[in-house]
Amino acid sequence: MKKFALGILLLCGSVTCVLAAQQQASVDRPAEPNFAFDDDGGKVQIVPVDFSVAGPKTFHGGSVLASAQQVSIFLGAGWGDAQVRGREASLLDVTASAGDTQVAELKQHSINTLRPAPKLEDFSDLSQSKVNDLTIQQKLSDLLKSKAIPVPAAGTVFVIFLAPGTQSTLGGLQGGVDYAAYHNFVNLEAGEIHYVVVPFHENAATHSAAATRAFAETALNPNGQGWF
Amino acid sequence: MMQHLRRSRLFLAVLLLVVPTSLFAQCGVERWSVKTGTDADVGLVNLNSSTNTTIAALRAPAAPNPIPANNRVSPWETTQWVLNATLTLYKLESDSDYHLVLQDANGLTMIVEIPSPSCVGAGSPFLPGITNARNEFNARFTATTSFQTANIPVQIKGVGMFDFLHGQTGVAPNGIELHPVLDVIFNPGTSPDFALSASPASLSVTQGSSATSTVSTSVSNGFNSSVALSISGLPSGVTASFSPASIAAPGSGSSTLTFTASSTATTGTFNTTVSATGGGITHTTVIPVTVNAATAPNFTLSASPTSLSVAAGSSGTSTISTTVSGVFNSAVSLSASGLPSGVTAAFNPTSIAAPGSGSSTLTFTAASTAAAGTSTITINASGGGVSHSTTVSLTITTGGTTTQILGNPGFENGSTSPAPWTVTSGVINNSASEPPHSGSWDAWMDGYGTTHTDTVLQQVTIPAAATAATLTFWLHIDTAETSTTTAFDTLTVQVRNSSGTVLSTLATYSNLNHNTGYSQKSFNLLSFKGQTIQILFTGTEDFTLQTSFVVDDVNLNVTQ
Repeated sequence: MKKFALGILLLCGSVTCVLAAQQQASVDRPAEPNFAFDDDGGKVQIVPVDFSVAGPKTFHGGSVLASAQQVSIFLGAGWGDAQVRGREASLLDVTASAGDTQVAELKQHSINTLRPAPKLEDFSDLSQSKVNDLTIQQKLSDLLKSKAIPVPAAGTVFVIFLAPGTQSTLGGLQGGVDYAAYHNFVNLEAGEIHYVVVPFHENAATHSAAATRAFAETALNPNGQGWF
Repeated sequence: MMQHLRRSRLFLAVLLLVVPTSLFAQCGVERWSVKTGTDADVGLVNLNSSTNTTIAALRAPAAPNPIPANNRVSPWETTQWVLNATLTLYKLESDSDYHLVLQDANGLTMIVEIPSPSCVGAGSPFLPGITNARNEFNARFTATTSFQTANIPVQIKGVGMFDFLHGQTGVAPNGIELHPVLDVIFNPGTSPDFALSASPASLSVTQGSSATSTVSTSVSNGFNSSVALSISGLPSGVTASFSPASIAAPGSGSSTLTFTASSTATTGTFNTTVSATGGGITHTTVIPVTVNAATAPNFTLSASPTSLSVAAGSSGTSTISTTVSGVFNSAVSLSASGLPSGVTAAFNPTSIAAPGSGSSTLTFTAASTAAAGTSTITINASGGGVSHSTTVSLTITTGGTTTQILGNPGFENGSTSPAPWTVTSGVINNSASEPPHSGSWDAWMDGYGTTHTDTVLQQVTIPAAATAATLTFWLHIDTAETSTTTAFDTLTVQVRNSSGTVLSTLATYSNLNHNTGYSQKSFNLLSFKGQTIQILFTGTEDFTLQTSFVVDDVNLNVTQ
């Protein structure tokens, strides 16, 4: 029986290692810098982990949002902790800092930032699984069907703040390792939904700055052909 | 020993918990029902015929706008296409799809995708084909999460699907894909093969009886083998047999497939799958079989409206409708009894033709000498040995003339001058999308599929001397809602006083009342005589799935 247990250990250990190695080695990336493939083959703009250096954006012919309104969704059981929850207030309006270069860029392109809509807290326990982009899309679909979040207007941007302990993935990339945030869109019965996903970051300032950047990039590049 | 066994089991359990869940299949979200055949329109796809096409032809149409979330765009998304091209790249997506990039001789590309069968709803008619295509692909290639190069000629069979442009590798400019793929042939035109079809492609069988379909095979490229036939997916109480049970070599021929339903067979529609196997090749085709309950022949009878007022010297109508059930198949004759003196009744047509479903307009004509009063008229209908009756309350009014007092009753003044109606934006309509009951214009409320309210209002005074006041209008409702129990979108018809206070809600209609064509509604407003009232229609739509409420020819007939 010891041999049986050892065999299982070796077998499962190698399978895990092989699969993990496959995953690590097999992540395709689009040619454009700071883009990734999402979980059903589309391209997604990410905020890299080190976003302190950013070159000027160029225009690729696509549309931008005329206005942008943040609707915050705090997702994951970790937000239920009183200390963590205390951070929510600082994230409810990611464009509040007028001096932020991203906010200035929105103004430069005449994109109005509307007063944020009320937040939603969803303390579902997501710590046992990785939250990829399909999970996010399904969650948005469920929240819309249950009318827990409002039907989006043209400028609505759902900003999903993942709780500590919730691991974000995107087409094989790892949140917090390969990106600090990303934005994407999905078409559901309620129409085209723009959203931002922000993995938790221990540093509150970095956390907020990543969200601001992804929110601004949603407005400037909502469908992948705008300013980036 | 047992302790070791327990430890090993515990270890296994712990190990399974720590294996990344991303290793398990996850399914897509966007248009997923259309991609896998569980959408509202999947019944429009005929899987028993296919159409040859090219990448250039599929890239030609403009992408629909909007692309419906749970419905199909005909013919692109209701046709099973066959496409010959070169498979250049393939990859396993996180939504478990195989993403294949096809290219033609001119370098034009498009995407075709094979979903994972585990992500396909059990009721999907595409499931056997998807499973088949997935197995065919797996026998040749191993898809991973990274793009790999193939460069091999393929023949792909699949159903069209417009995807949203999102920078996908190899995507057609209009976003069209074959999604799902139902069959893959590598190096087509060189391998011995056979095709399978069934006629009719779907059928109905009643409890206690049987029905047949002819299953046919045809061979190509020197195929020479017998083809064995089998069937799966039969509902409880239904058996099926092939005659003959296999097609003899070289493999071209036909077999009669007989479905026999017992008297207790489960009713409903079931996707049965016919499999044909020979020469190491298996093909499948789906035959939807509807099992109907064996019911006694019968029909129902109804009248609309069930009460009406007619002034002496004039006439009024009610629509008499019949609906058959079971195996009823006979003409239904109509008659009326209980008519008061001076009143005649005429049906047009005088009987409902076989099989017995339809309607007839019943016209009551009151002579000028008819006496005032209310009578209960009995409508009798009989045919095929079955008789039913219903009643209509008929009120004869005397001593005056009848006048229609609403302005612009058919909205024929057009959208620029709807007065005396007060309407919300976009309501007055003359588009062919919602044709009028008569004339050129109607009032089309809602139909946006988003949260929305439309109103149509007119203020009018019913004279104090009125002896009859009847509001009538024609109403058409169509909807994208699929619920048969929940009223998501509503139309209320109300009477308000001149200050806007609701005096009476005459009726509430909803998506549950959707109908083909128009039906006339009638309400007695005599209780409001001597008052200035507002006739108000209010259409309210929730956040998704459109419902259109179309009103036309609104009349308020007053006798005095």
